[in-house]
Amino acid sequence: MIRIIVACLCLGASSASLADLKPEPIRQVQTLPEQYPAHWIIAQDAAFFHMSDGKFIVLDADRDSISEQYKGMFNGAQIAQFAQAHSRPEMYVVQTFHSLGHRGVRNDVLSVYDKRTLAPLADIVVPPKRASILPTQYALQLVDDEKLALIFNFTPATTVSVVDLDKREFLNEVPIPGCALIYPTGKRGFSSLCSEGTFLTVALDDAGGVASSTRSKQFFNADVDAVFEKPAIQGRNANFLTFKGRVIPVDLSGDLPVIGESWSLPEIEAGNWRPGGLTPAVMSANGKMYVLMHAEGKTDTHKDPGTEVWVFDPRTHKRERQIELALPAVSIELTRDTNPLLVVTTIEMNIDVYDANKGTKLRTISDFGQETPLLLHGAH
Amino acid sequence: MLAVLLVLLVSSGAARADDELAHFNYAMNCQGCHLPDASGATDRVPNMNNFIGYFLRSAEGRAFVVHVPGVAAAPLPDDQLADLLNWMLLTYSPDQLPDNYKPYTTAEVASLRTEIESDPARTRIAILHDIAQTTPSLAHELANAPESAPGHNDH
Amino acid sequence: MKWLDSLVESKARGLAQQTSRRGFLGQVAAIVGGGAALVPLLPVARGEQSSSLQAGEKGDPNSCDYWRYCAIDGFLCNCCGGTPNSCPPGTEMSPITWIGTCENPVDGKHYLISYNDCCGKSSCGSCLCQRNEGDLPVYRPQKANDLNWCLGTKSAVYNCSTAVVVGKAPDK
Repeated sequence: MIRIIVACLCLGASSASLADLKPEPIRQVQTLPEQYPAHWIIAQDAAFFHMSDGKFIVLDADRDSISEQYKGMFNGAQIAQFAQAHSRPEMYVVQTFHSLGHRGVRNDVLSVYDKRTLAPLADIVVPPKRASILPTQYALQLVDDEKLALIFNFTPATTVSVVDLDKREFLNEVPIPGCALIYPTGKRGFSSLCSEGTFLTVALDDAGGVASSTRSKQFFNADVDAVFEKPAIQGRNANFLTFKGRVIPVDLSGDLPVIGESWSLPEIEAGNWRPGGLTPAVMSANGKMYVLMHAEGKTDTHKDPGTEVWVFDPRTHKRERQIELALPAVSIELTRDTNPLLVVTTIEMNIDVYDANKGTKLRTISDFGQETPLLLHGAH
Repeated sequence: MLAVLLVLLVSSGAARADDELAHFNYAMNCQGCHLPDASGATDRVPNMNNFIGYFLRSAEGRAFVVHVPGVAAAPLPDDQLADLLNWMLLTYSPDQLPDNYKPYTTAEVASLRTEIESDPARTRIAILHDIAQTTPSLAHELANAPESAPGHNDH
Repeated sequence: MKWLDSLVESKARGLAQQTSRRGFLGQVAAIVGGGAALVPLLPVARGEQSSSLQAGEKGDPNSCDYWRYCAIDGFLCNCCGGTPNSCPPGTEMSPITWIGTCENPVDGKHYLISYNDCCGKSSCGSCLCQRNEGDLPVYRPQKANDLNWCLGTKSAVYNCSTAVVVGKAPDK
């Protein structure tokens, strides 16, 4: 009772003695840190119902309120593709514009965004050929200590545009006939997956030209058991999964890919569990492979959402854990630390956040202006 | 030309079912980009209509037709691939074939398809250039052929 | 348009949905709707025989289940001012596309279906369908389900997808 009285007195006193609100400066704009905290993510929203307004939304997945989660956003038009630098505070978006909005002259640009301001630093004009393809990590990649950006083109002939990120200019276009996408290989090269089940590996010279172009032996047959074009990659170590649940380890650290002994995901037979989704597998910082799994898998279920995430040790080929998802997911991603968050795009197009080590669901991030955030990126 | 006619006569009766399969394989594997009449799309997909036959006027051109990725890596067995190529040549470009035209054999296709062109657009230009050199009467026609060199045209 | 596969958007639940496969959308309906709202809210059928159909076929071309759509991904042009084989007014049909086969339930024959996209206006937004039958990754582009096929058109902007009968598969 005394406390209430005191409070009332205080209130009365304070309202009398409160200074007027000060005028605030206008034109204040927030900035972000140069290195994003480990639990920030970038949601890539191609906005399929409004594709000229695609977005990349920077979110703090540790927080519970939208004002704490939403750090900012930047744009990418007509199903843009995305890459982050690790060595400098830049992010890259390759996107398409027409001079009159939905029509007129087509312009493709590689936009360089500043991580601190989310403002464009440069828009590098590239040939108007980039593949308009469902968001994937492997249509835009960085090589040569992040000096070169590589863009996958589809006209339907397939080529790769080479862009010098230091000079901010397009260098060259490299043919990759019959092959697709970009998996950085060695110091200044890349491999692409080819129709007949091989890799085409291109080593670049310092002008972005072709130093060598080499096809591997056949290592899969798409008509029998296709590989997902979205491997789980850690550094230059890739694990390519097949639709039927085989794992093909590929070492991309040398000049040419070294294709390792394949193994089968264990414990998938009972219930016909299969990997699937739009992003079926990712590696954690401590070398575990997280795979989005669905039951009753068969022909043509390879993009079905998964109801569980299985955690494998690629060294022992053992399944270590199963994470049952609260809601089926189409894409999965891990944050970069060793205490990572597992973030997933659910079939409701929200983001569910799990403690990856414990397998417990922490929260749902929703109502952040998203339409179709089909690909998630752990921030760097 | 006489050889072409003979081939047409010989093939017309004997291989109707093969032709149907070849046409189906064309539709499933080629037509989406090369179009039903093989005319392609300007600056994107090479025209083959009244054109692809020229390639068989040189050994390099004959190999090139199989080395392009859409052919070499087509998900078809060697015999069906050979049938498809022969059907395409006679359907879309009979008038451009050389007088001594011989259809592709299964063994020939099997051998050639193990190699895939690393730069089809560039090789194509070089081969057409060589053919024009050795057959001056074709130079004008080949020089005016719709250029379709994906990868080297825009910039 | 083959790349809208896998897209399950809450908006889509009020539009045409796939019912033949209890895959993606089926699961959404089952889980989100708790079972009660499992039956998708298909657009009102316009009768068994649409005027855009040939005499030897039947079905509802506003439904993802329509036989020609066995590998379609995207917005059905039939719900966007076009028909199963023509584009909405003011759009341009892409000449370049991918081709598959579908079985016509009326005669049991397999037909070649060309899934030409209509381009030059933004997403139609009606009747979103996705069926992954025979889909392969983009390294096999003639079967790849993730690509926007507005290629060779004046504009690369995607509006909707058609399903044109361009031939018949050989009888087995």
